[in-house]
Amino acid sequence: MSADGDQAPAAGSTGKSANASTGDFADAETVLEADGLEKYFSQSDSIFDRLLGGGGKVRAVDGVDLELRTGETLAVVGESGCGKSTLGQALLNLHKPTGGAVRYRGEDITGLSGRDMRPYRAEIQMIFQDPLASLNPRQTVGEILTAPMEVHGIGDSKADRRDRARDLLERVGLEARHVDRYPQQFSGGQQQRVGIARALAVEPDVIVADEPVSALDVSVQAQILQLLEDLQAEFDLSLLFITHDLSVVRHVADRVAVMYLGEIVETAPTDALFETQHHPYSEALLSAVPRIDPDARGGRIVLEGNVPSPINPPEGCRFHTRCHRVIPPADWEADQAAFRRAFTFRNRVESGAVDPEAARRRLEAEGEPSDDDAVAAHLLETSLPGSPSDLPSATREALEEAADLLVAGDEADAVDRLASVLSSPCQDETPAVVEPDPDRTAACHRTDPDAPGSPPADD
Amino acid sequence: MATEPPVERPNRAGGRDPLLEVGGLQTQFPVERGTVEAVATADLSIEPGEIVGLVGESGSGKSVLAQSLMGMVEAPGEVVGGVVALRDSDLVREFAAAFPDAVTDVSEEDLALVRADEPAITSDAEAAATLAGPGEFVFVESRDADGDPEAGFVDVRRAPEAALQRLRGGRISMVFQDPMNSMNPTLTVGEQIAETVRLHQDVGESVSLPAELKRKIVGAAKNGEAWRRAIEMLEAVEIPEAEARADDFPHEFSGGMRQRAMIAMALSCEPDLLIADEPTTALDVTIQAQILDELTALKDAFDTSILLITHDLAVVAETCDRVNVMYAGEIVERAPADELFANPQHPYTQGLIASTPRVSNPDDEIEPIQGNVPDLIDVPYACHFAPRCPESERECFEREPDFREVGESHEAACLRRGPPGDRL
Repeated sequence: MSADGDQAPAAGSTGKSANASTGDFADAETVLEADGLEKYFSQSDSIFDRLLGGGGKVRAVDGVDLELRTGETLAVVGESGCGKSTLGQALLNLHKPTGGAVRYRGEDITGLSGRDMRPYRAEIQMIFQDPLASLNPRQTVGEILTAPMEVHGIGDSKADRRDRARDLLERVGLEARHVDRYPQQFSGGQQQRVGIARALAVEPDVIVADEPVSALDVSVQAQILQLLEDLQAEFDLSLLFITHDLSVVRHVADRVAVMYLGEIVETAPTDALFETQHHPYSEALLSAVPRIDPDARGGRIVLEGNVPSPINPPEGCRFHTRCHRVIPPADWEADQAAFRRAFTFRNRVESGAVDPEAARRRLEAEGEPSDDDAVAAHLLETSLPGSPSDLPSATREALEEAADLLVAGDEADAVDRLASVLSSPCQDETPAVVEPDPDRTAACHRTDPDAPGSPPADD
Repeated sequence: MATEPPVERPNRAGGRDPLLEVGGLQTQFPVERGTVEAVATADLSIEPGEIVGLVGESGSGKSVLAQSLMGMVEAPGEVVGGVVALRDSDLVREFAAAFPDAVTDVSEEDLALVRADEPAITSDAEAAATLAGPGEFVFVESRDADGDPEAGFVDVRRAPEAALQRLRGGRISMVFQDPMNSMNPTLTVGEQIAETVRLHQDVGESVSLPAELKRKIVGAAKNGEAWRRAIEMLEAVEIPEAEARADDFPHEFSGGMRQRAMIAMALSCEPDLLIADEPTTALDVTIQAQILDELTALKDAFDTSILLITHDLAVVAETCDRVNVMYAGEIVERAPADELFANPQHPYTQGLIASTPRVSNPDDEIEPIQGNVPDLIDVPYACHFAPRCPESERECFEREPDFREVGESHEAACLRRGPPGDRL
């Protein structure tokens, strides 16, 4: 670690570490690393569930490779339920990983016991989203700050630790005399400052910040972001910044990892990612961010449906059920947009969302004909986006047959019938992680030159 | 209106009468240490078919303002002053018939007298409200040849509970931040929407207690008008397979779908005004984009005005026609959305925009506003932003800031803005 000190970034005026402009964290040493990290939560509550194998597993983090380099800010961004917080906690061993490894400066710290983990706790600290919930309301700020010092043997005496606490408070922009106050006597922004001071109390190398500014108002959020940036320079910290807010990412991060349904789908230096996205999910996510400047608004990509359940994630590429760039099979005769519409119908049928009985009831209530043919036509009309007329004839027939099968109660046959004409390499094969550009990774068939299916030709 | 107003109204952009006119609204909460002035004074207007934004940080009083508009401020909170005028000729006729004792006629001459006495009053509604006797809340400004009310407004603030119940859900409805907490977990989504329809629209289905109990126990008839309307509404907010999903309970919906269902419920009676209080704050950004698109489309489809309350400047910039910026109980700036973000004038708005991280210009430094939102208990200084304001001077703490013209239909309440002669 001898040479790493030189990479300590000076306070960057752009809000990022100084080397960000050159994008040169590629050569920096890795501090914290996840290697195929998995965290599954078992849903089986009782011993009977366990014996009988009942209950599914929530695959919150599913095979994540990630490295945090010295002095950088790495943002992990994703929507709620994508597993980003679990990832952060698994890295800190707050959740025992169920697979894979976590390494701190090359040393395996996966699943260490509390006692063995202790020396590493002084190096890896965490900041939480809700500052008040993460501060003990019955302790003064002084007690909150000196407790971790005591555990880790920092400071010679009680008085020394108290002095350090006062000093820390000033470093995070509070006043030394606040040392005897209780957390609830502070405003939200000030509480978050206390949370940061506590993380810094043990002089860590790495801070994992889980949505540290999401609960704060913008004017206060900007204060905290600035503070984190100053402290990062001052203490030579490596920062893992977990957030859902892409505007914040743009300002604080050197690199970004985009997460979807337990997997990292793309990593890239921040500026490069905002310039071009190699994964359609990153593209959609970015396009959805509202913008103040009218000139900066582009076409919004509207994603289909909702995030699937992590208990039973889609096969192949996990994003394929919602992807706007889903790849048609090689023998597809129409354009990609037509395929996407038909594929949406297939996904809806497969997920069990199409209900012929409810459709029949509705037609009856409206006084419309409600025989089997009418119900099948109604299903197609409401569950297929657009009109079936401009689909290839073989596909149209398959859709109509599937609708008839659904009405007849043969859901399994309907699913099979649709699968026979509407298959996608995105569903059949899991995309490999490729490196389309230096220091970037993406897991999408479209960026993989060796991938199956037709390459992007539709746009 | 019968005659041309004699003085120029700064609030009134364009030729149409506003649907909602809020003047001098004041809402207070008594606490042990004094009085919290959650809304100190607020003026606001919304025209038909407009999306108006109300943007502010937490503690700015924006949600209390919304509750005041609906007459649902929780005790011990109380709306102590001002007028909330809902202008609609059908509404005035309906209420004049239903509450004959509460009608008062105001003539242009009366209003002119009031205005001469109190130059601070700028809006018709505020002037008219000073003439109201006890219990009067239906203001008739002109009548047709048969003596039926032709123009006027209903003052929601003075309306009794019976009148409010007619208004809420029918004429004014609201969408909240957390749809899970605002839906009944024991009723299916379809049934909740159908219930609203039965209450406010004449579909010939009883809303008596026995009828409700029967529906609760044996389930609602799936061939009734109300149920059919519920499914149509779910379809209008683009819930796929609406007829099947109507049978689901709220917890079976995802967050985004729940919010859609809330919007469906709010729009089911085609209200004149929809108040959306942080409707997308709890949602993911891709879902937020869907809901905002939805709201804009529905506004046109149902001819509803929307008051969008949010802390998110970018959401306001993308969705709203006009914007009001609120800080510590006061509206400090109002302008058309494009104008406001291109040319912010009030120091608070400027600070707020400068502290918002943007996706588009990463090189702009984000500059925080120093300090915190003040405690609203008996605020001792005139301009509530003065202690945090980089430009404040002594007089800012002592003199109430008035609204000054700072651009095309653009006003800011700051002593240091406006025409050079008036500027501090």
